[in-house]
Amino acid sequence: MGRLCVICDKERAIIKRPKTSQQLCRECFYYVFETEIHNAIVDNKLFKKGDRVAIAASGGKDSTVLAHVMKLLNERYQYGLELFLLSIDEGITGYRDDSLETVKRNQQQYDLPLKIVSYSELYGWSMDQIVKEVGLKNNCTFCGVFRRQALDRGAVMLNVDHIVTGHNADDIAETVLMNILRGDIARLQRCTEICTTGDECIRRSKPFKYTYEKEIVMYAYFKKLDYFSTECIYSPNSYRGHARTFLKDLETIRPSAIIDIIHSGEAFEIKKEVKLPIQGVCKRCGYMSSNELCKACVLLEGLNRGLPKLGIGKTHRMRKIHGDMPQDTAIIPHFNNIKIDDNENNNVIIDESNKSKEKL
Amino acid sequence: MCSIQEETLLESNVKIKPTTKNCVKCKTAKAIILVRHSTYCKKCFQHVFVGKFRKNVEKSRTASNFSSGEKVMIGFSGGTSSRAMLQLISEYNEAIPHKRVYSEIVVCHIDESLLLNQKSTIPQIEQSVRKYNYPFIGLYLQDIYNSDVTKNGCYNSVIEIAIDAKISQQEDSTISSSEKLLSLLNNISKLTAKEDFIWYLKLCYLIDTARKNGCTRLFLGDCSTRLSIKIISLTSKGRGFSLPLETSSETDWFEDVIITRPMKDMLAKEIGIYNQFIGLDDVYIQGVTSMMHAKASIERLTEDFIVGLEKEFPSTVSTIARTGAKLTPSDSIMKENRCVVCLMPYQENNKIWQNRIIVMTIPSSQKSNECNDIRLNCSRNIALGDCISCCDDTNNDESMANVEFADSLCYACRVNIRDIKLTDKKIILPPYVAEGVEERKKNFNRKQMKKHIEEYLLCSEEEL
Repeated sequence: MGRLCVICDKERAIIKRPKTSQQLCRECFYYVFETEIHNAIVDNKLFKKGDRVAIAASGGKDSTVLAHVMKLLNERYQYGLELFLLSIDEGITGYRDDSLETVKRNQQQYDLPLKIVSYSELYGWSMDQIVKEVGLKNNCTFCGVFRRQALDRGAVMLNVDHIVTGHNADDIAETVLMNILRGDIARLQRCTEICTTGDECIRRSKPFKYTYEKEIVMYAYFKKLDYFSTECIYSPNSYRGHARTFLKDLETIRPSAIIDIIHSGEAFEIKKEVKLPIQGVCKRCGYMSSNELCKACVLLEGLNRGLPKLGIGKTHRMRKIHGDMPQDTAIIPHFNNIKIDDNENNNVIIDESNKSKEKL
Repeated sequence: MCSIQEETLLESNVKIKPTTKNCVKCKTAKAIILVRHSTYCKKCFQHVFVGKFRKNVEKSRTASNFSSGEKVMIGFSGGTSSRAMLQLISEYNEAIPHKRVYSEIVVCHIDESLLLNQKSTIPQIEQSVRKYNYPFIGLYLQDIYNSDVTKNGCYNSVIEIAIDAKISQQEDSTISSSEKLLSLLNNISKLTAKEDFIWYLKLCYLIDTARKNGCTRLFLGDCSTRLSIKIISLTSKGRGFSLPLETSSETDWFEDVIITRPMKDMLAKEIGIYNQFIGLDDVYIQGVTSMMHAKASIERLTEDFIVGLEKEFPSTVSTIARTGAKLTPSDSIMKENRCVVCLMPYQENNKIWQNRIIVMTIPSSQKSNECNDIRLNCSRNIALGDCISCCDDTNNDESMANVEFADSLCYACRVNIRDIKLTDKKIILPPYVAEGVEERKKNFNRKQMKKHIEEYLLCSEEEL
């Protein structure tokens, strides 16, 4: 007979909790796991009763567990939320098309409306096409910038108040380290906020802020949740890779290091004399931006003009050489002109046609 | 797998080897040194190096009120950076002999040889600083247990951590200082916590010695490489709140002793070259993780990480240092909220924060809290920090002492304390810690008293 769970002292302990190294039984692990997320939600007053909340769903472990836990907590504690699944189809053959199948299965299991927004619908370019154009260097920049905006646009279409993402404690700790290493002081301050919100923007929050990645996997494993676990075929990103390895090593030395880093990050305050970028609105597409044009517009312009380097590195110099954007170049439709889906209660899946085209 | 982003970086931004072989400063002499992206000849390198030091020292002088005649102390480990610092401070002070900037310079070294059971480093250090003719103070780390290393000057109580997770204040017993220090450090099961403890014991001892000797300034030799390692390791250990105080070029956190770091803009490499040029010998001091593998401790891992990254991306150190310099101590820092072990500020309510994000109990077990506590104590008697945090509800004196002690620690020290193994040996924390707990208790009592009579007070405390 093994050791008893240190919390209930009744059941046999079957796991060593990654966050605390405590030996727990299954039920107690579920309880602390879910309660910590519930605490994060109520302590930070993330939601109001009646909020319409979109769960950013990629089909990966974080978002699958997020969808499960959000639905569970919403029922258990009567948050009174209306939940939706929102997926982005980047158009990566052999990766995203497979993971979207998982999301569709989740939709069935959890009985939540699903909306899929695709890059090709929004920007006229799928990631496969972008990689063909720019190669494997910097393609993650395109994908990341485009995804952020696509999520917000999808949220407007769904007419939701709030997007929740599956960023976990490991992701946040890693971002804190990255921002110190990169010297990105503005993001260093923002990255530990559990909920970010612009003036007119949709609120975005991370209920898994204090949840360890290992425990998410553990939870999914024991609950037998169905998720897609393949690395993106275009993924490697070297500098972040270093930070990630370092973080994993830290965690081996001291399991609380991830929480400790977040604790540090939350305590950081920036000198008043340090200039921070002012958040404004992109004059081309109306999306929030600290420059005249948002990054997505510049990147897209680069793609459409055959100058993929335009948005990477020295935009200024590129503009001097190549001049401003010609009139007839395609741009992202203005943010204020997004149409809200009317048949919201049906499970809206758009863009089936586009996807099959990409496969060809 | 790592090749993708790097290649672009190499192409567009970073030129590892500049094409010119002449010194970038005088443009005539042949360059012999490469510092980051610039090449220097020997003369210009020294000029720039000394210039960086003077800029920092002068900035701190104009910031302080002392126009002349300040008595200062140099924290001298004997390593490369403090060796160079001693030379630079001495040159700077003797430049105009009749107008010295510092009236007196004291060199202070703390000997940690006990920890590794080695020969004392003091004779060797004394030898290497002798030619400067400055008063030299050689201390032994174990003497932090002396009753005079306290504010009071003669505080006899210590804090004892015993096997049943009791924490009690007691009269100092008869075991020697060396035994006390060894028993404390040997019972810390993780090197990360051990290193952390040693560093703060040293810092507290240095501050106390400076204070007792009438020095208003303490020079520490942290170079930019060291500082950037510290920025990352402090962050990783949960010390973000005090990080700006612990890495800034100057801080008055210790009120009457200002800490200055004049070497903060020099890379370890530059200091090494400088020492070689002017023939300064440093003393190799072995630490508890020296020559160990990278995963021995957080400090050691961070060092490995930063030094490795700097080789690949030569602006890593300077970027981290610049980021760190943009951080500021929070407005919410209060002088009386000082951790009793590391003397750094702690955040109010950091324990509540922790209890919300790390849930340790389930509702049914909360009702029978008392027995649950006891069980937690015995089942995990290796994890002291947890015991402290779960004894909140019981009301006897011993657990009150536990709570008091736990409350007077900062977040990071509480994490460290968890790594103390409880054995049948006595584990004793130095008198200055006990003094801090006592002081905190008094402050707390006064606050309670004030609360009690608040409505009858007509004016604020300052006016009374």
